[in-house]
Parts: sequence; structure tokens; C-alpha cells
Amino acid sequence: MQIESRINYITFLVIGIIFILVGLALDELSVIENVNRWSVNNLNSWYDFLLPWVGEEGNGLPEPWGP
Amino acid sequence: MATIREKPEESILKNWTYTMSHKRIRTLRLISQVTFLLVLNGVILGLSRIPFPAPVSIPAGSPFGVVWGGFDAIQYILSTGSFPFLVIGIFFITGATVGKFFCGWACPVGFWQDIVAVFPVKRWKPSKPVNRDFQELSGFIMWIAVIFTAFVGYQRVSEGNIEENMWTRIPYGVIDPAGTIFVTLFYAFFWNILPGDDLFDAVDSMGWIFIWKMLVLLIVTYTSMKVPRAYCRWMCPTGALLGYASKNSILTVKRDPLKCRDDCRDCEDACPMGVPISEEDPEGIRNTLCISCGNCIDACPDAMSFGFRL
Repeated sequence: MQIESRINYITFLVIGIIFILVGLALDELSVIENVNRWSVNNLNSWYDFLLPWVGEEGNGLPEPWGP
Repeated sequence: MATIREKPEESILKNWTYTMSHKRIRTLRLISQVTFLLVLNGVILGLSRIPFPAPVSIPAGSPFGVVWGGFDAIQYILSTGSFPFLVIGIFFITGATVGKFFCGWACPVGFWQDIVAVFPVKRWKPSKPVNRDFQELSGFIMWIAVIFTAFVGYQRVSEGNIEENMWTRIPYGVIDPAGTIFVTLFYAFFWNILPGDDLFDAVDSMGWIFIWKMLVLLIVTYTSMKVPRAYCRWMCPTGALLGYASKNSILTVKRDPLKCRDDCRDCEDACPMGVPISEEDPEGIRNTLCISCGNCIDACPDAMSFGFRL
């Protein structure tokens, strides 16, 4: 059982590290970072982003946070 | 032999004071939860945002959120037509090392449920099979959201830009109670930015989504009062995703069966997730519900302990 556990968590650790390295190589975090930039520079995109939480009413939506 | 400690039947305040002074891990966890609540919403304290997905339930649209909730990041990246390697890697490494520790010690929604569980309502204790069956729901919700956003991402890549609506980026955000607490309610009331000054104007402005989100939040809150951590047990997609890697996590909770008394279920009674601890491997709990909260250790410090599965 112990060996089975070790194989299991080592597998997840190895796959996790590989995935993180691939994600970093693909600059995946820039997708998230872009949303922060929208919040400052592109209000329309920012309002689109907020749709799941505040609905589709565009009138009077909030100003976003700072950079 | 496990020690038996009688808990006095007093007022809620006295019971709470007793609990805090006699349950060291619970007290430490409370401090940790408050700290994480402040840090995760640290923009209000002047912290900067960092583009990093964390394995907790903090909505991406949170006005004060320092990081992104990992599951929101997965949906968002999938909806752009990419595969979220980095976020899934973070989930795998977190699950394999500390399991669902952050659910118990850091997640704001877990903290919310711990708070509402203090209210003295008659509890419902679901049977073990019911608890196990309902647990499948969280995985189902997770896969629905993942498959849907992957489909949206495919369409976006193959057809160019698609018309945006509330389902196309982070569809789980529409029902996510964390989103209701940290985004919708903030925008609706706390900042008072939406038109009008009162609830009715806010409802009028947001339309059905506000009513829908409040309804989900009320159901989750009420259910969590009746069943501790009901949302974590049965609905949370973040926990479901962590669960895949947490079954054999390095950090675990161990039980010394030699110190257990016959028919004693103190550890199981204390478990907020309904884990059948006495049926688990004493060398480390493998149940994906376990959030390493330590309530079982507080209930029986002789037999239960944190440990490493090295």
C-alpha cells in the first residue's frame, strides 16, 4: 500500500512539474495578466469579463481597481 | 486510551470560548483562515495583484482579489482555446503534497461555511452512502464547466471571435457562491456603484442573475448550517479537482488503532466532511473528502495526528 501511495503521489508531482514548465514556456500567465490590463485600459473588455457575476446590464457598472 | 473530555452545555459564546481554548488546531486554523481571507482580498489592504492561480475558491472578478481562483483560471484559459497546463500542474502538485489542506485552512468559502455552522440549528447527518453519492456532484459540475469552456475555446479558435455572454468565459461564476459574496454583493451594495441606493434598485439593475445568485447563496448557506461544509462536500469543483491528486497526498492524517476505544466515534463525529475515519487506512486517510482540518485530532489527540506518507 505504501509503495502504491508513493507511486501515486510521485506520478502527480512529476506530471505537475512538467505541466508547470510547459505552462511557463507557453507564457500561460499572460492570459490572466491581460485581464488585469483590460481592467485599466479597456473597460468594454473588463465589463465583458464581469458578466458572470454582475449580469448583462451595462448601465452603471463599476470602475475597476487600479493597476 | 483516548481521553474523554466533557464539554459544558452553556451559551453559544461560552461554548465558542471553550472550544477555542481547548482545541488548539481549531484555533490555529481560525487564525489561518482570517489571515488568508485578508491576504486573498489584499487589494483592499494595498497589496498588488499577481497573475497567479491559487488552488482555492476566490473569484477572478473579485474587486479586491490578489490572485485568481484556480478553477476560474482553468475555465478562462480553456475558453481562449488554450490548455491550462500551468494551472492543472499547480493543482496536481498541491494535491500530491498537502492534499486539500488549503480547503480547510485557507479557502474563504470554507471559512464562510465554518462561520454559518456555528448557528444552533438542528443538524442533518447524512449517511455514509448518501455522503459518498452526493460527492459525485462536485466532479460532475467540474466536468460540465470544463467541457463547456473547452467547446467555447474550440469555437473561438475555429470561428474567430464569438459573441460574449455570461457563459462564455467563466460559466461556473454564474452559480459560484464565492462570486456572489466577493463580487456581486460588493458591486451591488458595498461600493453602492450600481444605480440606486437599495436592494430593489440593485435587483432591477442586475435582473434575474442577482436573484439567481442570491438564491444559490442562500441554499448553500442554509445547507451548510444543516450539514457542515455541505458545499465543500458536494458542490465545489475546486475541491473535486484537488481530490484527484489528494488521495495519496504526502501530508495526511494518521490514526493509531491501538489507542482507539471500542465503539468510539469521536473523530468521525468531529469531522466536518463526514469522512468515515474508522474505516480508513490508519497509515493515512485516503478519502478525497478529507481537508486535513485537524478537527479529528482536536477530538482525540491521543489516537489522531498529522503525519507524512513518505
